[in-house]
Amino acid sequence: MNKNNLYRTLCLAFLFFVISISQAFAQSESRSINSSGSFYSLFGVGFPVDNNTARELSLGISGVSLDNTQSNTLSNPALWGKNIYTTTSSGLSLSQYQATDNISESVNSDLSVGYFQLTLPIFKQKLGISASLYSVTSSDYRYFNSGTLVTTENDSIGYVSDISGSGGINKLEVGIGWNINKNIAIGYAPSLAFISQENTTELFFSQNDFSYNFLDYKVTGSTISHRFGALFTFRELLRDNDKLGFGASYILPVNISTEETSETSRVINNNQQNVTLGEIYNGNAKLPAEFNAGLTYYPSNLVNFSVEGQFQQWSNARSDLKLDNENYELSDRIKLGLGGEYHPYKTNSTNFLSNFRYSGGVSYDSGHLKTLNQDINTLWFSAGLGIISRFSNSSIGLSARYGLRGSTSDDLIREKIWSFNLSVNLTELMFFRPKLN
Amino acid sequence: MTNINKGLFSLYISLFTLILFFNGCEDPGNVGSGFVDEPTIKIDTLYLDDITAESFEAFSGNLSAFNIGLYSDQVFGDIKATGLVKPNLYTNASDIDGNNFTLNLEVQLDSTIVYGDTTSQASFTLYEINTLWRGNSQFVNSPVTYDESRSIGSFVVGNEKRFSVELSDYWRDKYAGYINNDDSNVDSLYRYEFFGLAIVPDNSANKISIVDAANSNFILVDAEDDTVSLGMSSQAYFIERTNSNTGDPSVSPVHSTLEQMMKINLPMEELERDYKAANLLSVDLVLYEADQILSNSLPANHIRPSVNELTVNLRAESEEVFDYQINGPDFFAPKNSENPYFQANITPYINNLFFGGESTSEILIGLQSGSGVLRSTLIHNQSASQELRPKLIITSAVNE
Repeated sequence: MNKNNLYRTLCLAFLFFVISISQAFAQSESRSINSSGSFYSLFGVGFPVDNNTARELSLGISGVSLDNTQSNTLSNPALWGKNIYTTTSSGLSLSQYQATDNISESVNSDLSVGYFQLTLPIFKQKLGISASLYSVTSSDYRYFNSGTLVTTENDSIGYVSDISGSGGINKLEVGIGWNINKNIAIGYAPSLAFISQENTTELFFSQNDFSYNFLDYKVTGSTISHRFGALFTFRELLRDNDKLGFGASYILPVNISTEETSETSRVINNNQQNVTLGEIYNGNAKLPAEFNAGLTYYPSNLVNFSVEGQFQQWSNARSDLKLDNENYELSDRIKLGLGGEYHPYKTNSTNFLSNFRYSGGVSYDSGHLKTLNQDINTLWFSAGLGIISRFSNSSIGLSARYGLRGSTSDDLIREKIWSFNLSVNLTELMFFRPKLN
Repeated sequence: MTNINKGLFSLYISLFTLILFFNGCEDPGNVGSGFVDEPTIKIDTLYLDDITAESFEAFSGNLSAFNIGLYSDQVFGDIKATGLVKPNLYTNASDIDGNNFTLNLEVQLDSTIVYGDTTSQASFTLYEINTLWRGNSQFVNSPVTYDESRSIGSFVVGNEKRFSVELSDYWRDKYAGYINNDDSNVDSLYRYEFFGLAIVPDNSANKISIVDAANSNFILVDAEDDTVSLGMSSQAYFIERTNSNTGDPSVSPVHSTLEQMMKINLPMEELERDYKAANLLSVDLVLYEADQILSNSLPANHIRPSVNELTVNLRAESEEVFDYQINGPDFFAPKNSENPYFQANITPYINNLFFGGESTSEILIGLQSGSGVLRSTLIHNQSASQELRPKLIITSAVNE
């Protein structure tokens, strides 16, 4: 590994170290610091997670048609058959939610690892497999309030309630992609979809007569999910070196049988112990059918443009959870994105600004929630930067997004979201020095 | 450093700064209050109806205090408290003139607690005990006989709190016989043949005083003014109570002597059915004192030792007296500072009943019996009006 590569690796390690330390301190001070996100994740099984690389996020698309042989993606199983390198990737997101209603304002922030993926080319650019772990929905709301309790003896006791959500539905997925020929690639990915979600209510009292109280409402369950993908590539349509990719993926709906328990802590025989209250409630958590489709056009190897759409049939996916909130409806979600990229690093220029890949995009998400007959939609503006290793095909993707979600009309909540994402792709050449060097 | 590395370094520093900035900006609030199902605090009252009386005989020896006196309480009856004292055997007789000394009993009364007529004077006579008794096995209601034909000394209790009573030559000589005895078995002889003194109130007394055992002793002074303080080998008391008048069926007496405790059998079926699955915040036992009856039955200038707290013991399977009196209570129920009720937080016990394998649903209510001070009070029972009946206040958070 040469000095430049070593330097970059050390910087990257330093960054991860800082993030890890930051998280560790957050955990020790309070379990909810930097782990609270959108208020709208209060409802149902949480808010859908965009499991995209920073590159895809900065383009405002799901990436189903974005052909890239040098890094991996979760967006379309068909793409795994086109991989050249063994690649490990992970994504980190840091988001801040400024929420307002007609009365008050709150600021939540969330630092989380979004996904982990390993892809292996069985036959280079022909057949590849993928293993990954990622979130599908996330419940990360947080809500504070205070009140007064009047006892039977007319004593007033103040209390503060801290209500928060964590977890959601995740998938442990393995899949295979087959690049049938230069025009067609297909893929299939079965996964274990499992829900591990907690709604926690903590109560703090102003008098010692009442001790600190928490109630964890836990939802667990799992089932098998299936995902299919296809990518069609057409070359030299309008000019000599151009390329058009059309990608699509489909995810079958999922119905997870759940077990729901309530857990709290009690002093029992002089020891603090967790106990389960009441009986186990058997319900179900649903994920909708999902269809993604899109086009990416590459006029040259320096520029590409994408337009993609996503449809999730949430209107048929109302879960049966005991502690579910009643104040919402589910509606079908449509997401449309448009973006473009410029790749100056391919020009071999020595200019500093020519060492990166630049992306930008905009997307509109109709949302899957409807409260008070209003869809909770989100408009995203995004931009991104790609740092491509000159000595291997490893890369770091950075994206910055600004989103506007919901509305303050009819006592609803408006969220202004700043979201920063970091994706790291480590290819096999990151670990083995090329012979020519 | 090359230009590209400088640029990348700046990028990483910017990211680090961004993380720190976001770390400091979090301020969760109550946005969305119309959508969140906030927990509500629910307070239930569960009245306790299965209440009976339990009687035990408490230890009265070698406690920190013992009672002497006579008082006729309109509610708790005519009480005669006789004190029992026995000095330690002095084993260094060669240091003093063992045949020429005086022996005094120094009595220190509690400076604040009196039971009865505070303006009266009470006379006491000391008699020689003529049966074997032991401090560690003396019970409150077990009389000890004494020889009333010969007074060993006497004193009168007015407002003073410390008395020195010179003991008779007869008893002094009897004690001298043991300290001057060189036999190897003198300890055994002293233990089994020398019984000490009874402090007996005269019939004219109208108050009971509390003797501070730790600060009461015997004083031996020989002809050369050598003074020896002799601690108590044993000290105790017993009472004779007659003519109790707690006939009101809505109240139950509770005595520190364990002569009567209040036994409450909790309604386990109802508790398990309604509260085992609840998110309990606290369970409080509330007992109301019959303060009107107590205050109306005291003539002017008469007082009873104050009762500032009740004790709550879980039913013991064996050695109940030892458990309730010596081991102490499982919970205290302090008296409310403004209203006449006692309240004990028994949440840990309820948790043990629900989740910890606790099997007994019986709890016994008593008074502080460990000190030896004679105290009594009246507690409203299940026959009282609803607002005064014993009850559990169950506070829970409802999250649905």
